[in-house]
Amino acid sequence: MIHKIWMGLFAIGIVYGFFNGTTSAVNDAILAGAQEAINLLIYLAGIMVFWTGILQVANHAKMLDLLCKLLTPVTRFLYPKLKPNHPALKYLTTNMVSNLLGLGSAATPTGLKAMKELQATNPEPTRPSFEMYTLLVMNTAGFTLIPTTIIGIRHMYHSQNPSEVFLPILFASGVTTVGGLLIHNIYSRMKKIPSSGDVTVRKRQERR
Amino acid sequence: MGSISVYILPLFLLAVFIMAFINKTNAFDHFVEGAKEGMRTTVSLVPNIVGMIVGIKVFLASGIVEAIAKLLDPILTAIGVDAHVLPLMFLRPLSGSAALSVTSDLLSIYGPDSGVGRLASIMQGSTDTTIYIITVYFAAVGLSEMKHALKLGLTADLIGFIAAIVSVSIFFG
Repeated sequence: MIHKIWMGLFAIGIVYGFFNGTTSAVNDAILAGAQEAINLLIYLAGIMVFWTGILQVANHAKMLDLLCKLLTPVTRFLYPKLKPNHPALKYLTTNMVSNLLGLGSAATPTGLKAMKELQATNPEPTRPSFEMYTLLVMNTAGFTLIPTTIIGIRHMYHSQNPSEVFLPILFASGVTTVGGLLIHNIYSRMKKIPSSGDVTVRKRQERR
Repeated sequence: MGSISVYILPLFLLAVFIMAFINKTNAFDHFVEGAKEGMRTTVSLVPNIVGMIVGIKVFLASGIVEAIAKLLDPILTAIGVDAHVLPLMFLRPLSGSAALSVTSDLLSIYGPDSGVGRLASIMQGSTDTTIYIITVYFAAVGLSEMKHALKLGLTADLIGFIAAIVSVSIFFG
C-alpha cells in the first residue's frame, strides 16, 4: 500500500508538473528533497538519541513504572488485552503522556519502543496487532492538553488571545481520538486482528 | 499556557534524575546504553524517510494541491468553510513542516484572530502527520502491511477536520 502511495506521489507530481509548467520546481524538489530529508533526520537523530537514553534511565530508575501505575485505569481501557506486566505498557503510557503534554519530540522514541515490545509478542509478526493500531490512532489523532506549537505561532502573529484555541483544540482532538478508536475497534473485531496480549496463541505457535 | 509548558521538560528530567539517585542506578551507563539503541533505530529509518520526503516534495512542487483546492472551492463555500484552509487539509497528513508553514502563512495573511486563522489553528492542533507516523512506526519493526493503518489514520484525519469545523462554530459561532 505505502509503495503505491509513494510511486503515486512521484508520478502525479511529475506528470502534473508537465501540464502546469512547474517542471523546474519539480526538478528542484528532486535534487533538494533528499538533502532536506537528511537535515530532518539529523534533527531527529539528536532528539532520538538523547530521549531514548533518558528513557532508559527513567526505566531503570522505576520512573516509568510509577507513571504506568498512575495511569493504569486509562491504559486498562485502551489496551484491555495486554497483561499488566507486559513490557510495552510502560512505553505506551510514556508515549501517551508525551503526546498529552505536547512533547512531540519525546513521543516518537517512546512510540517506537512500544512498537518493538508489541512486535515481540505479536502472534502474527507480518500483520500489525490490535494494540499497534490503537497506538497509531492515539498518535495520529493528536490528542493534546497543551498545543505548544500553535499557541507559539499565534503569539508570533500578535493574536489578541493566543490560547483561545486551547479548548476548541481539546474538543476537536478528543472527538478525533474517540472516533478513531471506535472505527478501529469495530474494524478489528470484524477482521479478527490478532492481539499482542494473546499469550495463548503465542504458546501454541511455539509448540509447533 | 506557553509559559507553563516551558517547565514540563526540565521538571521531567529533574524527576528522572532524582528517581535514579534514590534507586542508586548508574544513570550515565543506562543513558549511553539506551542512546545507542536510539541511534541504531534512527539510522535504520534513513532510507524510509529520505524516500518518502523526496516523494512528498515532488508532489507539492507540482502545484497540484492548489489546483485541487480550487476545484473543491464551490463545495466548501456552500457548507460555509473558507476554502483557504484546503491546502492545509491536504498537507496535514503528508508533512508536518509543510502544514506548519501553510498555517503560519494563513495566520500572517488573515490574522490569527480571523475565522480562517482560528480554523487553521484548530486544524493544525487537532490532527497529526499520519503518513509520517505510519512510515516511521511500521518501518521500525519491519511491518509492511500498511493498508488498514493508512485507511484508519486518514479516516481519523477526516474526522479531525470535520471536528475542527464544528468546533469553530461551537466556540466562536
